Amino acid sequence: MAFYQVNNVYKNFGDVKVLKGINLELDEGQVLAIIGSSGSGKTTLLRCLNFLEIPDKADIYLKGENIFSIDNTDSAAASNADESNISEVENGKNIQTDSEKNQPTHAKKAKPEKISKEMRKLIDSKRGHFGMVFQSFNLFPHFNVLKNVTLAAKLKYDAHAPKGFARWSKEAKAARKQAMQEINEKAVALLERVGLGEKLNSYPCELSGGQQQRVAIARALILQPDILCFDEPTSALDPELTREVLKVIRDLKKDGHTMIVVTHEMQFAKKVADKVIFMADGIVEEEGTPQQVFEHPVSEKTKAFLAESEKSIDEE
Amino acid sequence: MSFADVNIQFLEAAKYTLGLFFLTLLIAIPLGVVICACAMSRFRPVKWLANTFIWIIRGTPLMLQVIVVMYGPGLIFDVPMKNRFLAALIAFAINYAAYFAEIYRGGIMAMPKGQYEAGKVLGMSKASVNGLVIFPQVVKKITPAMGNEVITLVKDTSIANIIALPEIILTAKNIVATYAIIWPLFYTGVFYLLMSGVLTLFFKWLEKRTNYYKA
Repeated sequence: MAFYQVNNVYKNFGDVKVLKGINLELDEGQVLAIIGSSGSGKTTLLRCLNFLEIPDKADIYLKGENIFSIDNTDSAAASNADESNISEVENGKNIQTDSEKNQPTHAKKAKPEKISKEMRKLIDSKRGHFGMVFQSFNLFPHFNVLKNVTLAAKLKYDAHAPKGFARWSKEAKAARKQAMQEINEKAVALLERVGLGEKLNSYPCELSGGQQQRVAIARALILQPDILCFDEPTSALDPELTREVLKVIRDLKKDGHTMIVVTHEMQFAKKVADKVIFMADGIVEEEGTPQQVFEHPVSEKTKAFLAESEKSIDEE
Repeated sequence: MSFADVNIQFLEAAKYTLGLFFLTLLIAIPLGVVICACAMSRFRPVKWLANTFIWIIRGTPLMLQVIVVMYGPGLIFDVPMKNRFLAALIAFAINYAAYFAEIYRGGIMAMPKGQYEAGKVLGMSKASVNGLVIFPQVVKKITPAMGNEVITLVKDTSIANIIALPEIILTAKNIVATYAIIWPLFYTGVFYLLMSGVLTLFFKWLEKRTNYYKA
């Protein structure tokens, strides 16, 4: 089995079927590029893989282990009514809670998601496997660069630190101090890795978009995710800044990071990706190596998309 | 009634004005958080109740609310309100809490959803996201609106004169009625200007202090 395998991802927003059965596979250290026109579902897929959206149906395997399975589709609900073979990870279904205030606007008219506490807990415990870099960076504007990178790691340490009085013992305090020091050093090293060693004390508003995105990459890396996801990381950047961000991503590949990149940068997908998926209308229309997808596309939709993306304006 | 006498009387009266002002803030700022939390609750009845409450409080004059709190208990339950200051304080605190709640809500709604999502994918707990990411940014966002409201509160304290709380305006009216001189009534303006001036400076300072970043 592949390092990372995702089977049968389905997602509806209300009556709109956004993802209609996506499968993908990725080996360790590989870079997967997801391309496709707007509205094809690529961002939704990535958000499902990061649990920012809960898919209606999906089976996710990492390192051979089934880390997440869900089936909230109508047929499953019907068949499960008289069967009681719900696996441990699936017992979140059919229990009401939660319509998040931070749901995406396009989901507003959809039914509130049915997520149980157990499901939420399960998801939160699996989040650490995945890192996410957003199109709009989403740095914390009120913290400086260093704190943006260290915050989550420090909170994670505190969450696992001894509780109650034990927390205030001399040993625990010393250990904490040591750990915080290490996190800071790690953050500095990561920021140097992305070329921002000079900007530790700057605030995000003082940085260019490219620099902000590189901080966001360092922020995701400090938690050592198994898979790092990028959601159109350069769509908000001009060509020069795009290049500096893509260069960082290319360097990360050399370091052996496994990555999934949703992108409109065809050149990047061609040169850096090991695998390319072309999505259209919520399904994987074409997949393969960059050579296969870009040089010898089989599907008509892929051909049309690639031709369109290479067309210059005056050919219209 | 000399100039100095008027000043002395006004300073006496300012105890009520400032007392009402500070105690109202002390109660209304946290109470607003509670009302705001209710208004943003996912539990429909609570949300509906909070919104109705806000509608009533914002939809009726503060002066009327002061009168209701002062005379309502006596008329309805036959337990007359003894303490005028307390009556004014209750009415003011509730009124301002409702307004504050709406300001808080506006500030929270203005937060980009990406901030929540960033916290989520970084594995931060809901409490951490709200406390460390959202709250400080909301404070900065609402500071100008809060400044506006707080300065309005200074002047609104004069409404308490309707239930004969001897604050500055009532004191001036008494002087006018007793000594047949009109200028003390105008002179109250200086006191309000001084108080709102201090507040203006305070909020300028506060805005400057949170100005180290732009959202």
